[in-house]
Amino acid sequence: MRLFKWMRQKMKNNRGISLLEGVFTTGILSFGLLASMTAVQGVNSTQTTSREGVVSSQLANEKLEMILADNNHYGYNHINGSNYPLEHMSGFYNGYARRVIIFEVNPVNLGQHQTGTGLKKVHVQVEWGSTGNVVNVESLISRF
Amino acid sequence: MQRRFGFKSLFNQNGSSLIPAIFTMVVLGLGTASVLNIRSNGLSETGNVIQRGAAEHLALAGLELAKYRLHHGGAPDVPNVNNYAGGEIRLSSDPASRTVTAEGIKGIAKAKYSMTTQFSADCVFFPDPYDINYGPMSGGLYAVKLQKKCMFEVALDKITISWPGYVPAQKFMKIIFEGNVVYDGSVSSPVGLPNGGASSGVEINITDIIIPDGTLRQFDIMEMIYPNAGLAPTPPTTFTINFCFRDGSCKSRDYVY
Repeated sequence: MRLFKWMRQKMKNNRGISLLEGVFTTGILSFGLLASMTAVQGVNSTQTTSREGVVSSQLANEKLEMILADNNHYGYNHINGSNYPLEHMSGFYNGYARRVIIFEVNPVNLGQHQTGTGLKKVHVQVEWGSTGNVVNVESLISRF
Repeated sequence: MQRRFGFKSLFNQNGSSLIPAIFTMVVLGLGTASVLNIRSNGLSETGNVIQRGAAEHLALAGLELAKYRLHHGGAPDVPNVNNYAGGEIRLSSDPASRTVTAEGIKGIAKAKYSMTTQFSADCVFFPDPYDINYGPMSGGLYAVKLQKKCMFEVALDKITISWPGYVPAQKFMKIIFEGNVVYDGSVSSPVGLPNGGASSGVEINITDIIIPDGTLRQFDIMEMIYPNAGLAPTPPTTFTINFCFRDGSCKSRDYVY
């Protein structure tokens, strides 16, 4: 209350008013700019993660296409996990790890393991960064 | 009012520089909101790119699943909706054109692929010979043979027998597959099938017959009844048997008496 009274008196006198207004204005503008910059920075960071997600997705799709081509070329029996070991990418794709998981599934319940059915689930997972970001792509291949 | 809010009075009052500051803040806020909006649109497009790739692979997985089902004597699109890999595979087929369509759905992304492939009817052949005999009041088609030449197994689902000069009283009463009765009109078995015999052109949904191997299989389509000897088929009479399989494909064969 005292402060306001003091300010009112000061304003009445018109002394130092421009300075006070300037300080308030700068304060408000700075606060607003800070909030805007924080938001833009947040979006930028998400954008980077998202770009890495696209790269991971392309890497996963590439591997899956390779496995489908192998199925056409070498046959169904060639498609097993031991032929597709874990890859730690290097060079341009340094920091990305690509994992392939293959197992036969129940044709009625595609989420259930069942050997000897002639229907394989091919799961490619690409992982990047230290926070465990992952992109998964899956498909099926049949013996026939 | 003019005095309180007009520009002239505004700039004469203390604290008036706060108003342009707030105005600037609003403009800045709108600018930031626009930038954020554009960037978030970019982000959602990125998400769509990832989902689009997954949807494409779901559609391809759907075609593989359909091929698998066809080779095991099943219908490619039963069930037509399949949950897989956090998405959905929707299958449909057109047995007449031997086409299967698979749609992969992941989030808002969709992808669709079609293929033309073999159905059960393309794997079944009817070797000769066969035998047709008619007595004074009844007769039948015996030793009607079929052979599967590809696929893991086929499943015979429906049989339709047609003959010309249809007389309502002429009916087939029984179909036997290798000693097993798959249709018996005298007891309406299985339940829901034509009772009292099957007339010409009536579809008989028999107990499904699974044929897992390539050996010759044999049908006896027996006991065609007719009320008097004058209605008996006379040579040459053509009986057409239409075999339909579980995948919806059909194959017919003429048998001449």
